[in-house]
Amino acid sequence: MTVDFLRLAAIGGLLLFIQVGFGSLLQIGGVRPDLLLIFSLMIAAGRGRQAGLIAGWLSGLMQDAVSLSYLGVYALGRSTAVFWTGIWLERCEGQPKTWVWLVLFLISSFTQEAIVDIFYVQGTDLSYSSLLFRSAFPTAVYTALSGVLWVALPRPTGEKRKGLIVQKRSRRDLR
Amino acid sequence: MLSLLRPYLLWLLATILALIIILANESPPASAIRSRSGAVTVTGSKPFARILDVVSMLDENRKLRLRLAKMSVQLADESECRFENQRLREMLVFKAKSRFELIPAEVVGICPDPVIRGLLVNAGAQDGVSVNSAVVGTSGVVGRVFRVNPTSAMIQLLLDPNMGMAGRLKKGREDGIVQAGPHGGLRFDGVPTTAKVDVGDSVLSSGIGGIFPEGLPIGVVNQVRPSLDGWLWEIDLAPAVDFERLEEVFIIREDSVDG
Repeated sequence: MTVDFLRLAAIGGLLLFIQVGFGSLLQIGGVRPDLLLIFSLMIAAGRGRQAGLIAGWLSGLMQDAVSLSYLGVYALGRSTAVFWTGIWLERCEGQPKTWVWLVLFLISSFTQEAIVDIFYVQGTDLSYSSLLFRSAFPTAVYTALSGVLWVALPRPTGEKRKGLIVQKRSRRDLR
Repeated sequence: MLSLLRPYLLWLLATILALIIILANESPPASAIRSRSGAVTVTGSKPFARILDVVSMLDENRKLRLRLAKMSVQLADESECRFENQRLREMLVFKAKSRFELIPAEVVGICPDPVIRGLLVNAGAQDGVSVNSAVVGTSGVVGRVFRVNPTSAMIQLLLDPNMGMAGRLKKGREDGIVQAGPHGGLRFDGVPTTAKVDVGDSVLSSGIGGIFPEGLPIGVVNQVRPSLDGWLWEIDLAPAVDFERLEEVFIIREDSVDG
């Protein structure tokens, strides 16, 4: 478990580094994909929504710290988005289809951005609705497409990956 | 029951913790964390920011080079237009002041005749050009027309060894013969050493010979020395016209020259 945790932490750290340091290379029209949200959802898909919640909370907090924004904002947004999306992931029988993944990524990213923008507009004259339209929605679309790309990639076994680390036994099997 | 509620309780805990951190953002510990992590981020990203800078600089460099090349071509065109404008203005002034009827012509090539040193111009019989018409530039005598086609003509330059014309010193009024000289210059022969000739004196056409009207600038004396026998001056002239840069000339219409 410690090894798994360290491995996940290393992957998360690498994605954080790429997102913050090289995000401009991934940028299209000023919009960047949220790699850490995809990472958190993958963990939720493979290990349950509680693991996804913790991964989202920690990665959000780290992102807040290194991007010099308010601490806790992305921790709140990402953990909430991953947790509630995780409910749908757990209800999926077997491997979700690609379009299901697309919708899940879209909804979770939009939820995260909507929560973050609530705090972002405080003390400014920015319109929350216009921010959702100009920033949150394009980011959600880009993140969803990036996530689906990762999920749709074929694996050596020929099966599509459900989570970041495939569980040999699910919690349902243990009950 | 508790096991069913556990995930929701965990989410609630995470939410409360996050809200506490958000509300405590202005507190000293939170400010310290932000400033320290900010310093680490800035320091750590510097080398990688350089890589991004290099990538964007390469792209910008390529675009600037392309723009520079385009602007160089544009500048050369504009410079050429400015010179052409100046020349054409000079020609206009010259033509307006001239007492002759002038046919403007553009130099379009070098005379293909291997014997004659000359130029090809784009005015011909249709424009009123005839053989033996005098050809001048804005600064002086260029030569004569020795062959005419309907739309072009060939000009024998004053620098051609086979060409000669009658000249006269502007000051002393001594007559002589102008011919091609050494090193792309002209010679003024037949002036006796009794005549006073100084460096800087102008030589004009004398009108003798029937081709060139009187008073057209030919050249300027730049060297004077007596001949071996001492009877005549050996006079070198600097041509009034820059034959290396001729682009436009005027052909004097023969019937406009006073008999």
